[in-house]
Amino acid sequence: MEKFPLKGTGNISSSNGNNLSISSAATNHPLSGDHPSYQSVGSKPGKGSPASGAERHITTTTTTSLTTAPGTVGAVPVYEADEDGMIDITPGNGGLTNPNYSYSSYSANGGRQDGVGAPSSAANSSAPSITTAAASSNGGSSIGIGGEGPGGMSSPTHTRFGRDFHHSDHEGISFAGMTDTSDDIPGIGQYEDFHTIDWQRDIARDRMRHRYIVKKRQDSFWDLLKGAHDAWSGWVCVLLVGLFTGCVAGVIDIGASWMTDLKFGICPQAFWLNREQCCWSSNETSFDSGNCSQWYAWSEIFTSSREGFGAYVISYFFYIMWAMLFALLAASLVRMFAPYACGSGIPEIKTILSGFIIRSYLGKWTLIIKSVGIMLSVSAGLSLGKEGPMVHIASCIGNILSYLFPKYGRNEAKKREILSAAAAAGVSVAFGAPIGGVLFSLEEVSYYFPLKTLWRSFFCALIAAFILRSINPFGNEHSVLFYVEYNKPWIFFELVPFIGLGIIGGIIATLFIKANLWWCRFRKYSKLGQYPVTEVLIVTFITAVIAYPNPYTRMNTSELIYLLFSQCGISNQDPLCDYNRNFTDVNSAIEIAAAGPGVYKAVWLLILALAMKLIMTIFTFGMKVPCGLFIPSLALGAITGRIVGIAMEQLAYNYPKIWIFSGECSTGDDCITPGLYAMVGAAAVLGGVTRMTVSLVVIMFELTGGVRYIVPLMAAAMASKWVGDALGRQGIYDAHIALNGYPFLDSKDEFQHTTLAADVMQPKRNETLAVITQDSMTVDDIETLLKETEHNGYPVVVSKENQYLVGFVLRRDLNLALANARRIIDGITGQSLVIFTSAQPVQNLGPSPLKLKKILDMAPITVTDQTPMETVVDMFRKLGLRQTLVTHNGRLLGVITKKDVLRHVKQMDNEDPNTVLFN
Amino acid sequence: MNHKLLYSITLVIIFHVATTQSQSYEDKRCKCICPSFKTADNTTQKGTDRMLIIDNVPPNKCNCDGVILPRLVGKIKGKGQEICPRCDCKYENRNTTIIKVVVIIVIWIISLLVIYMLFLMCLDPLLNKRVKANYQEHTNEDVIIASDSISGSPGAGTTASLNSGASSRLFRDTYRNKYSGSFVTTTIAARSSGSDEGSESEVDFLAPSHHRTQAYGDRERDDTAVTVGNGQDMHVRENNVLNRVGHQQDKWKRQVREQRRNIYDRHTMLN
Repeated sequence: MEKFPLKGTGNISSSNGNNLSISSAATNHPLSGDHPSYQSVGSKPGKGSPASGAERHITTTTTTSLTTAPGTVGAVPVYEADEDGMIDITPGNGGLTNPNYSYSSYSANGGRQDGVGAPSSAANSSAPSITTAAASSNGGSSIGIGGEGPGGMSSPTHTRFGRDFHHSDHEGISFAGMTDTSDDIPGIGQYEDFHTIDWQRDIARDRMRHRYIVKKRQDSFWDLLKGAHDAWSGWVCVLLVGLFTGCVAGVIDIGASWMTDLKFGICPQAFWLNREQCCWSSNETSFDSGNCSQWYAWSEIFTSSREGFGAYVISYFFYIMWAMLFALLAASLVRMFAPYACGSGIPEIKTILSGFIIRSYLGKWTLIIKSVGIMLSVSAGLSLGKEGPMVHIASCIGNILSYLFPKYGRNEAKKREILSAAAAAGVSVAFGAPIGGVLFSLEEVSYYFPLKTLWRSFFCALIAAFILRSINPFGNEHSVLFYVEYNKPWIFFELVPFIGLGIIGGIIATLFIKANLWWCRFRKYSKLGQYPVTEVLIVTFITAVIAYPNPYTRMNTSELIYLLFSQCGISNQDPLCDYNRNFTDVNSAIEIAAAGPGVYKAVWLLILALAMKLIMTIFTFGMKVPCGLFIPSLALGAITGRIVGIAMEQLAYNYPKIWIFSGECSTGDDCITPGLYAMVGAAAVLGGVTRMTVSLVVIMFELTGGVRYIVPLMAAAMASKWVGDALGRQGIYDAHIALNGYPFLDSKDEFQHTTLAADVMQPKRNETLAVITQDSMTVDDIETLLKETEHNGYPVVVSKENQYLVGFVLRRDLNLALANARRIIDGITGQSLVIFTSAQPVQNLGPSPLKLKKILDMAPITVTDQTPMETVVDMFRKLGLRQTLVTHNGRLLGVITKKDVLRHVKQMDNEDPNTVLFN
Repeated sequence: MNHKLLYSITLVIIFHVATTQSQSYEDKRCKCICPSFKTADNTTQKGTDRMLIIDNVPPNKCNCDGVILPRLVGKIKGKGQEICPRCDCKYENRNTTIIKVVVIIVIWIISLLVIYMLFLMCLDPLLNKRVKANYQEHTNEDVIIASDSISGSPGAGTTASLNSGASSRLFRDTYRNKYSGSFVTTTIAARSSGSDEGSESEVDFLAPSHHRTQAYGDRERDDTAVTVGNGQDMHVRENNVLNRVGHQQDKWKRQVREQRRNIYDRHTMLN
């Protein structure tokens, strides 16, 4: 890159200046704002450095005539130069003095390659490659345009680049007479609420900005620093996201565990401690309840007795009252300050990451209210978890912090890279599983996940897990409450019950999804939806009333999962471990033993707990409080698994000699571990509900700290996914996306119909396509068009008669540009012509024309009308398009937007296409 | 305003931290659970007792030999080797200071939010009733949006304070009149998304300034919450900064109302 002194730019510009009336400022400032000269420069680093070449994530392969495919890195500069040479040559423009559109000066330069351009490039050490590339394409291309274009034919440059170059920096523009449209129009490049983003456009913008910085950093030391800052800003941003996510997760964990125990009592000496922390160093802690003398249950405070009927009633009452209070607070805070904070957030994050704008869904009020609300709703004892909302919280942090770095904050496509990393950090802190978090982001939420994002997600998850681990919220050296360490072998035959657990998990999950969907649909379309706070209160009341009598539902769900996962040992005195063996009897060996009455009682209670949790979770998930469903699903599965595990254990105890145990149980050893079954069952239900596979297994083994159980977990997850897919097509997140009608184009589904682009495009037959002509419409015409139609973008064509495509202009940009022009530029009236070309129109006596070439996208993706929809859908998915134009015989025929595609997909699947939420 | 509040919060926290003496709550423990030594004595007795011993020893001493045996010297004769394999010793540590600070912060945040919520529910409508007499009520929503965009758009972040003079005050008060009872779900005549073009093109202006708000004015909006939450400066309207703050607050309120309408009334999202 050092080979390319910036003087080269000056040389080119000055050689342009020979021809044209460019002020001397152009030569003084190497960035004279001239985009073609910039492009010629910019193409060099593209070849020279792999870094800028790597900025091209998506290679556009289309059938358009203008957009050729920048297939490989090596081909990039050729492509650039090719475009410069091929397209910018306008014979009619060569000698024309056009101070306004200076790129034509370069086209003149290109056109006279042998004349003016050559000496300047000879003076330049690295320019020859440009000139040769341009020259190679010179002949054919000039013929092409010359043959087609009349005198005033437009000469399309790569406006995507040109415009955004100006957008990213316009201080270098010092041309005389370039005061009109070269100014930055505020808001260009942003999107409105509930719109999809154009990945291609945003990535092109970022590429342009990047090249500009790469080029500029040779200017001065300060620019070098700025370039360095830009290069590492992605890493710094994810570092900050990781730090903040870890801290917020720590606060939520500590706060939630404290408030959960507030339902039972208080630690008067240090009110901020929960029960376990309160009894931290007390030797007299009772094993049954975990109570100690420092910890005062509410009954103790009011009746000064811990046991007895009266105490029970008072404790029951306080439990319900606290639960209702917390739930009321959560629901009304959500309702008052940030309605977007309700729910789990993962369906919406998925939609947002697929390229949809939901304003302030990831804002700071959402962050605050979701953090506070999830603490409250977990403490209320509702059947929900904080893991899903943690992903949302982390994404909010990612979104807010990305505004510190304009590279990400101002570019929606780039911002999504940070959000992917933030989602990984969210799962990382939720489960203490950094790798699982990265895989979760990759498998479940992200849409566009290049390797660079993978590494950043990895780093972000690592930092977040490290911070949470340092905060040590549970005092167990781990970042989750239900961390268990296992190192017991399993018998090969046990794969059969594991797969059986997978099947049961899949069935429970499908049952849950269907019932929950039915209930959510009912809530959506019935009067129930009008009483969100009342609904929360009623569900909380019922949950609290049912939950308190059963010790397994009374305790925090995380504690329940921990209890179910853990092995029976001396420290575990739950009825679940009431076997006819004695850990406290030092004289007998620990061996497989018959279950005592406590175990049977516990199993019955667990079955009740399973039914209660299943039913309550169905009604809870989707209420207007922050609520996730990882923990309830894990609990459902763990209960099932533990019961199956106990059954297997008793089978092995009673019939130790059957062949299935292959002699391993005959010695009387403890060969079956019910806790392992609980773990496998938890994975199965969670896998069935969310349809995760890889990330789920990794999360589970990171939770248990042993790689020995990967095969059982994999078998269960796979079986559960198969059963789930067979019984119901969608996972819970996809089902909720469909229920809400979010415009999410799922890349998992295949499009298997044989329709053509012509069947889907707008307008349908007998309707006319709203187009804008490139140089014959007035401001009034366009404003009328904007009033009469509601399309989000308009194709620009040569003329009404010759509907040859010139480009595509977005409604929003058009609105902004017109309003901006009316405000800033003098002499713009309703009669002013709006021209999208660079050619100077014939000067008539009318008002001065308004030039809007800058907002025109001259490289819209086009397909022909006979393109199969399969291809079109694939293009929308893989390129992240917002719309594509349909041509026939080279003439513009119609437009296909993402909305059309989504509606078409729904129609083909026999669903109501009108449910798509879209603007 | 916000800074003052932040300082006071930090002061209170520091005060709390400083005043609480170190009590019996230590940050490290070695927790051992062992069979009761009685069962080791009598070979026939089946005991269900277990003993819990919590001690403060270094992590490497946290095992049966370091914690249990020294305590049982004399009580058991050479049975240590029988008890010890059954013992379960765990070394744990925690940080009570972090827990304390976090819990106090959480209490603070929740109470601030609740106070502000109560203020918005009860006091705000009352205050607006008084204002109502002074201004005539606008009935057309478009006018409101337009006046807002006029005051908000040309500012583009830097000059917003200049423009948000009279017009925004007028706007805010009219807005307050209309939506004072916004917590009780007000059903607003839904503006059909694209049909009235006049308002939409105006709304376009909101987006960039809104965006800038998000970019730069993050803290300011939090100020809003806090400032008004105190309820002291409501009458000082002449101040330009306050005006802008109020303006932002209104913008935020409008956003929240829009969200509420999407979620609670129309059920288009987050079902």
